[in-house]
Amino acid sequence: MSGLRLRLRTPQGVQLDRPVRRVTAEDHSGWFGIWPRREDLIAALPPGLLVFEDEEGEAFVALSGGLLDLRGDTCHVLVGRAQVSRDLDAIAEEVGHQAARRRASAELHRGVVGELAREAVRRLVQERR
Amino acid sequence: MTEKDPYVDEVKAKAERMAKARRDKGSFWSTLALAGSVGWQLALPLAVGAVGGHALARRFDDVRLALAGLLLGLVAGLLGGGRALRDAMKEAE
Repeated sequence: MSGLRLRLRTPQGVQLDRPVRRVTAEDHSGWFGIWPRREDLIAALPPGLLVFEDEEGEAFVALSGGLLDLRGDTCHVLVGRAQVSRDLDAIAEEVGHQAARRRASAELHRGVVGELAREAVRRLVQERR
Repeated sequence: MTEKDPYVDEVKAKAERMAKARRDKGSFWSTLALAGSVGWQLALPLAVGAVGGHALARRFDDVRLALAGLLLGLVAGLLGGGRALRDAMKEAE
């Protein structure tokens, strides 16, 4: 495999770290391609898609926006959220499921914290009587 | 409570656009051919009307027939060319 590596990081950690043939990404001025031995660059990525090709074929990364930093032979992509898929038609659905899981988890968290707060207030009121 | 997630909407919109662009890739030549036919659909009826009108005018010795043929050809050409143009623009979308 030629000398280009894609390293994708989110706050949860490294999501992807593998040799690739090319990377295609979009910044605010449009789509651009990255092949081995390209000059270093830094680009701000809006929410959307990034495409890469490795030995297994083409793959798509849905990302919530972040930074692409090409230094030497490694393309670092730093984003808030990312979802990798080999299927372009399915990726929107997968991202939707991921977002729904996050919302459900946040709702559960709010519910538990709310219940704990109510219990604490109830006990305080009982102790004061 | 359901919140709208702009990240999900952006990814969905861009994935759909990319998938559509990849599906439509092979239709460039067919769109070009359709656009090319607009010219023929405009010019051919005009030519047929002009030639036919001229032939009739010579046959019946009435120059108005040549004018009528030209006008008929022009109307037919505009109608046909307009329809072909509309189809080509719809195809290109």
